[in-house]
Amino acid sequence: MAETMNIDARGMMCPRPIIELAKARRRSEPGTIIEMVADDLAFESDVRAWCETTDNELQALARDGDKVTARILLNG
Amino acid sequence: MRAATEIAETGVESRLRELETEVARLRGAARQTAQEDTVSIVCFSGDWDRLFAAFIIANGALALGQEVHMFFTFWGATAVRRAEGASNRSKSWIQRMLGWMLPRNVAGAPLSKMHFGGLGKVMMGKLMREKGVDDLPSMVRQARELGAVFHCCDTSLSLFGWGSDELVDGENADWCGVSTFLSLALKSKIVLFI
Repeated sequence: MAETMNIDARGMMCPRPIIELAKARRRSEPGTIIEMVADDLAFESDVRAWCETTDNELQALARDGDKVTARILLNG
Repeated sequence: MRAATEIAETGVESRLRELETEVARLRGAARQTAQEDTVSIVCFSGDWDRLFAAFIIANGALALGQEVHMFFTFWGATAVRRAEGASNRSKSWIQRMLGWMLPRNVAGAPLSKMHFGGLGKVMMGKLMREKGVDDLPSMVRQARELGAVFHCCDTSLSLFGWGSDELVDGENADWCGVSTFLSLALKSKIVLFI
C-alpha cells in the first residue's frame, strides 16, 4: 500500500507551493502519492511543469473555483 | 561445434538486450534535454525601449517560425496591462497608488533614458513614424496575432492587485509561476531577460 501525503498550500504564492512539493519529494520514498491543494493562480500550470521536468506522474488535476487539487505519484 | 555456435548466439542475444536497454535510456535522456525551436523572453522592465527590444525580438523569432513564450513580471507587466474598466474594489490603498502611478497600458510606458517628462517619447514617436517603424502597442498586437504565448506572473501581479480584468485578454494568455517559466526555458534555445 503506497503511502499518501497531504499538502495544504492554500494561501501560499508562487513559488512556495512548488517548494513544499519538492521538500515532500525529498523526504519520501518513490511510490508515495502526494495529494495537494493550492489556490495561487500559477499552481495549475506550475505543478504540471514540475511533474514534467522532474519526471513524476501527475495523476489528477482539478480546479474548483480558486482551489486546485493535484494528485502526484512520485517516481523517484 | 554446434555448442560453440549456441554459446556465441546466446552471447549476441544478451549483448543485443544490453544495447536495447542502453538505447532506450539514451533516448529518454535525449528527450529530456532536447531543445526545441522555442524562444523564451522574460519582460521584467516596464521601460518603453526595453519592451520595444523584447517585442522586436519576439516578432522576429515568430517570423522565423519559432515558438515564442513571453513572461511578464514586475514592471514588465505594463506590457499586458489594460487599466480601462478594471475594478479597484478589492485593492488596498498601496495597490491603488501603484496602479495610479504606473502606466495604464503599454502605450504609456516611459523611456529609460531621455524621457524628459514625456517630451523625449513624443520625439521618439515622431522619428519612428517618419522612418516607418511600428509603434509598441501594434508590435504587442502583432506578436499575439503571430501566436506568441503570453504568461503573466501570478506573484507580482497579486502584489500589484491586477486581476484578469486588468490585463489584456485573449486565447494565448495565462497565469504562470516560476516552474512554468523554467520548464519552458529548459527547452528553449534562446532565453532572454529584458
